[in-house]
Amino acid sequence: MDISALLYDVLRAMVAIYLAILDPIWHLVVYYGLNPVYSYGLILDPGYAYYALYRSITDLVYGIIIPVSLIIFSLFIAIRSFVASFRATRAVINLLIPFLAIAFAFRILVYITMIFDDLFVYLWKYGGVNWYSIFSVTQISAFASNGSSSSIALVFIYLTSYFLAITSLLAELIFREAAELFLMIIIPVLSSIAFIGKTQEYLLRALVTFVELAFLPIPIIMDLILAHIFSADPVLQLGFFLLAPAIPSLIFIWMRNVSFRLQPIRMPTGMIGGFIGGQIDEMIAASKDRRIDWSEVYSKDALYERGNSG
Amino acid sequence: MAFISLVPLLSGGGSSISAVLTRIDTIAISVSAVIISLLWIPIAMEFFSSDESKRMIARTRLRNAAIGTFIYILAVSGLLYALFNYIITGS
Repeated sequence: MDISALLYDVLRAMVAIYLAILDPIWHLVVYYGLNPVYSYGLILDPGYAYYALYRSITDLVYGIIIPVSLIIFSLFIAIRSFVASFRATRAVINLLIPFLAIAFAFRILVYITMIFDDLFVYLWKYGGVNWYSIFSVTQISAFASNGSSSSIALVFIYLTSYFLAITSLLAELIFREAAELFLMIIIPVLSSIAFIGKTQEYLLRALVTFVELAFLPIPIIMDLILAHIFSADPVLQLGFFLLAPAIPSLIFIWMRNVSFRLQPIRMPTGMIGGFIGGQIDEMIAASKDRRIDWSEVYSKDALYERGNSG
Repeated sequence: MAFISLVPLLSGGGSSISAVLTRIDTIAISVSAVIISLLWIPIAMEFFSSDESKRMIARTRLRNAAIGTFIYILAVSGLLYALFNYIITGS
């Protein structure tokens, strides 16, 4: 038997398997990952057992962990007041931040998620696309059955790329839901230690990650709408599908590198600087060094007075 | 061995965690009181020194140290927690 004919049959079998398997996987992606009932509804209403866990963790943190870490971190602040320059208002604000975070972080995050939910539902309904079937979103059946323009090997590689794109999109979207539910639980614990700048960075990181993950389905659905619009171009459409799981690294990592070097209290400026571009980052970095060291001022004052008297 | 002896402590639920944290609390307070009283010594020495510029610097450091100690005492006595608790929850 000819080996090339055997290979041809194997590729045909693989293509048939891909065509059979892509649609159920895509259905999982849409039903569990993109569908507003799961992608946002699950986070907005996780159920009674989740709330019971959340409440018990909040009780533990607020009643037991916060008083202890308040004493430990106030010791840090007291020691710092002996050895370095020190601002009392800033210290009091730092001591207030964990209380404010526990009281308001959950509500703020839920409101932000609701806003993103509305935006997402608007885009979800856009164009009346039937998202649940991959054959209505893409043109893979036409590409696979068009024997004159494409060889079976090319179809095999094309469908393999689709398989990788869709499975990684499924993994990303399910990871997103799990990570958001986890971050909601962990944020009270991180707030309980957010008394100094270093530990506030952890809290800020968790909050910003939550907002990013809540925003994530919106660029993904935009990308998929674009893939549907350019369905006449099968290669560009594959490009959009491969882009969808890469969106976090495309959008968020750059912003993260910019904003997390800054102090938490300056976060809005850092976010704006991240959006606008490089020059403002340098301005912010320069303004960090512009803080007045009062002990230096007083020592200069003392030298001046000694010069006058002597 | 040390880990095994910790296991019943950690698996006991909220009450044993609160007992552990209360002990940490007590240790932190007793150790930190010693640390802070030691930290006051150099400031007092500077304040009563004969060098005039040192005395000017000591005035700033004295104020900082007083505020820091005041915040620490508020936290240890539980006043700060009660105050923030009142601001947030109103009770």
